[in-house]
Amino acid sequence: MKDTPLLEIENLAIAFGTAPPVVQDVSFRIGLGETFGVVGESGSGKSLSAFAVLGLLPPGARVLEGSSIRFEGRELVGLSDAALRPLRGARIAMVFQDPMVSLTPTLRAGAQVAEAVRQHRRLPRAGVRARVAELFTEVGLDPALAGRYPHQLSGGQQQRVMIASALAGDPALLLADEPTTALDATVQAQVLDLLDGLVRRRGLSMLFVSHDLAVVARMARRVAVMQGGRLVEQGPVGQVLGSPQAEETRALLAARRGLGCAAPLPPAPEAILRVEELAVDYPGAGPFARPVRTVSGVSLAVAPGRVLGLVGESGSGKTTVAKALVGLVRPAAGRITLDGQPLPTGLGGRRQPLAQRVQIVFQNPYGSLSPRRTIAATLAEPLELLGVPAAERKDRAAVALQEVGLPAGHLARFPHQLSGGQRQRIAIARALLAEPSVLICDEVVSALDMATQLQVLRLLREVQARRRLAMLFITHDLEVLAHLAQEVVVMRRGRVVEAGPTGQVLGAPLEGYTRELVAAMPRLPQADRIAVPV
Amino acid sequence: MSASLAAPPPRWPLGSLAAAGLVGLVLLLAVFGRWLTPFDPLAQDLLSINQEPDAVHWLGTDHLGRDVLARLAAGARLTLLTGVGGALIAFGLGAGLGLVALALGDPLRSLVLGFFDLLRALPGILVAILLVAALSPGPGAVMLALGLTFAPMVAEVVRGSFARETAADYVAAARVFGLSRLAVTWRHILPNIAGTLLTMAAIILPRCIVTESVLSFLGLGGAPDIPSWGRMIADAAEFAEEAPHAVAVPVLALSLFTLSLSLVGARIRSLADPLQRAGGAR
Amino acid sequence: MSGALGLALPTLRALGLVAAITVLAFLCIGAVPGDVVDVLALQGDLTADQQAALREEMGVGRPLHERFLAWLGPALRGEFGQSLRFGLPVSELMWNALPTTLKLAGLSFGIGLLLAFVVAVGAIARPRSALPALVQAVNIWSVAVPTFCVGIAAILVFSIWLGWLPVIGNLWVPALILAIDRAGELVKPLYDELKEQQGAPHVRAARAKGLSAWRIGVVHVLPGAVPVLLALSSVGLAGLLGGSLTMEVLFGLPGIGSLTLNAVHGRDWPLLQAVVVLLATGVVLINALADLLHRLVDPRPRR
Repeated sequence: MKDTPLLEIENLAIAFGTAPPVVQDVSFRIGLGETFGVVGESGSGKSLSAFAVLGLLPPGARVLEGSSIRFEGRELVGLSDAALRPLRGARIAMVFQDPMVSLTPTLRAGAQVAEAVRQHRRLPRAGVRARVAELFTEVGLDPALAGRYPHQLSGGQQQRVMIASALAGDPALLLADEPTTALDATVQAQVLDLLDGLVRRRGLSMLFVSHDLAVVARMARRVAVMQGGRLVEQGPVGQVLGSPQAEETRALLAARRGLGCAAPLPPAPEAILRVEELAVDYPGAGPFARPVRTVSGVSLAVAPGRVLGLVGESGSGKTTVAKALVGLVRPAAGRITLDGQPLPTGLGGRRQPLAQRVQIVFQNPYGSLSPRRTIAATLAEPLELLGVPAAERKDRAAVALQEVGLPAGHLARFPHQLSGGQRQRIAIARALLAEPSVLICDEVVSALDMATQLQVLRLLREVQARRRLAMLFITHDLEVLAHLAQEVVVMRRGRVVEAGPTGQVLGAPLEGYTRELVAAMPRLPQADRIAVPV
Repeated sequence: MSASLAAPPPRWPLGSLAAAGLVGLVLLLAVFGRWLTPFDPLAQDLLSINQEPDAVHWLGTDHLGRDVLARLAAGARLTLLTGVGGALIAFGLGAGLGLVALALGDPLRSLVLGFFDLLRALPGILVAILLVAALSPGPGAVMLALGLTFAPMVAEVVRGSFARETAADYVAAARVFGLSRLAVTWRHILPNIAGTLLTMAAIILPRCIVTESVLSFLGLGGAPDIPSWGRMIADAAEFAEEAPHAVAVPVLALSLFTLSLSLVGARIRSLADPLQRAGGAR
Repeated sequence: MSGALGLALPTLRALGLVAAITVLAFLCIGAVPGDVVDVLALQGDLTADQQAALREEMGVGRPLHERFLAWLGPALRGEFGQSLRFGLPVSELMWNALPTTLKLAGLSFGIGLLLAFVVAVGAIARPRSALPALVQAVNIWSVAVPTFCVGIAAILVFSIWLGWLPVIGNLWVPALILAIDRAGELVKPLYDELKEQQGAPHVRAARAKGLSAWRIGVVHVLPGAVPVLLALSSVGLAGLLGGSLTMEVLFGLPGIGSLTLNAVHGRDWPLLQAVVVLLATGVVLINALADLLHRLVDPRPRR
């Protein structure tokens, strides 16, 4: 650590109104030129702590008395908005989580950087333009993109624009709040490289906040772990990850590391679901535009008792494939067979037992349950369609809840009374009640916390093995994939780029894109050398 | 999110309670009004014209000596019936037909929505005036005109909510079980947009009642012999200097009634929704 | 959206809408029982022969489709024929009435918009003041209290009880009544949208740049509220035209509303038909304008 800390936070406590504090006893220091990581699950208070530095807490939240945030020796707690303003962007700048919504949609990218430039320096018009171009170049963007609106940029480009406007005032400290969470893995790796480079070149100090231990470990020398609004442990990365002292840190590491690799199985039996040369079109913009082919030439097969992983980044077409399989979108070409019989395309002809044997669990547990129906009503629906008499439905639903590890008491609840993980369990129970042979899981854990992810994945694996389900597991997360799937199909831009046994594809990828994906996967340092007591 | 430690707000705060009382009063007036006064709403008494309210004529008499209370009661009946009828038609067309068309998709969808677009391209009151004129005045014509005037508003809201709900995965999940489009709409979408429809009803019903009054005021209302509130206002307006109460009574009745209906509607909506009832955020 | 096609389609749609309304209105008006001669006969004594001759002269006895075709040709050139009742060219009557209606609708829209804007922005900027409560109050007033009733009440109170200047014929009183009504409909959605925008991540990001509250408000918050405002305004303007029809009749203003009512009561179908086409065109134009403005302010493609 350096002698004079740039940022010194002591006993930080934050509360909403008169409620009990959501952040408490948070103290850490960041030295000049140092990158300090803060890691924790959602709701742990890590982002709030970062917002508090610049006085950007959401309405209703306030820093409690006794807290201290000193920047360059100056106390920031208690300063008015007007007093903080000269610091914002000039000495301390911030990069936010979701660049899509953190850029103003009605303003061109260049203008958003230019206003930050003008805020801190008096420059003539041409000077501002030159400075914007300079900043664009520095963050690896073509200055020609300055004329674009945010929605015309990719996620990675948007985040680079955010970074450029943060650099405009030549700050000493950069607060980065989950800056790569919303991005695809390969883009995440590029943006992390960029931040790394900027920190070195400019001698920036950085507070790097993330839920992802591996990402924090890659960026920071020292790290703090937050849980439930408290800072439970801090120290050099190697020490915190290598010999964690706090229970919470161990739990966090276990959630990350609890995923073993799927055991290789004997050669697959005959596949039950086969997809050949599937293609899907989406209507073009405007009535005369040609349809756009979003998926083409996708072939895959899943056998009973096996898990096939379908991996790809956003926009790769993997969800479209899932929707085509359950009939939610009509394929433009190709064949889908179940047990050798062709499945009707589209939902029109699907009201038959054959089709119901392919079920799906969706990504977002907040949207997949009807908000105004009780869990009992939600679970009764597949039973009714299977012809189960009304009297038996409740008992069957209770049994189904038990199978996914929830008490029967939850039957009377509404979805909004349940957590994300509980909802996802109910979505799984609902799919299982239709007695499917094939279960499609579309990014089912990506909206959940790490620890919850692990629980849901364990449940899925258990259910899949017990019922000998053929499972198509769609994910962008290679680690999750390796945990569940014996075989994998890699998709990019609507096409299959590589397919094969999981170990082989991830261990020795043949295609350039797969190699890129594998390389971009965030890894913990010396992952296998750290013993994790569970 | 701050947990409030204070006592939960009452289910029916004072304002809403008063509003509910007023709505009830008007209903009672409409049903039992004819036994409330001994006077015939049409009987003229030229010896006691423009009388201020007194013990005999509780709300006074108008320029022809007719009892204002008796007319108010008779008018309440007609105004309520036409207003409720018009709102029902508006919902039948806008929500009923609209949802079926949305569920079944094109070509029905384009046809129905196109028709509503057409109606919406004219100011509502003009549509009502044209329709009443074309259908020859009468309570049935007024109801139909009100229904057609307000159906596009309902349909527009239904269309928006339908689009929002269909985008949710729970609809997709239900369809994967093999539920038909209509069944999904009935079972899953309708309960989730019911709150919006209720809000809409609380807006449409008062508007139907007011529009009925405006039409009668303009001389395009229902039967000329039965007094409606609008006709009472129109009749008495000419003699407002001699008998201001004869105008003020129906005007006050109309405004207070629509205000109360809106307040009661808002209250019922928040009580009926399981999400709001449980205090959960969505 | 490609420029030419993006403009051509809405234009075609708008034209189709006006055409369809024209036909529909013609059918509607054609179905009105009784004709102008019946009305005239009630007012002055006309023998059966005179009535027949009058019908022949005015062309009201001919079948509907013939009348429509005979009307359509000149109408496309902007000639809507003679008013059967007033004996004047319809276009002249409308031309004389239009300024009153435009003034009434324009004034009330302008004042209403300004009022809604000031109250909503004020309520956002001063959340501890009485302004947020005012937002709710104006909204409830507008939703629940009919302008028709307020109009009559205003006449009663100002003209008769207080004995102030004659309210009948006064443009400002109905304009203010309609303006408050309009403000009430605009203010709540505008306030909600501004509030949502204010808490949006992009506004937090703008604050993190050290921008002034003023710049954040004008450049980062307000543009986000424009689509809502435009959508409401275009719907509202159509409603306002309707509202001003009633107000004109109530306050004895010689505008399109009074003209319409005269035409209905007098079975003056050329006049009524022309009014319908005029108002439909007006509403369609307003919507097109709102759409265009939306595209200018918000570059994102529409869903």
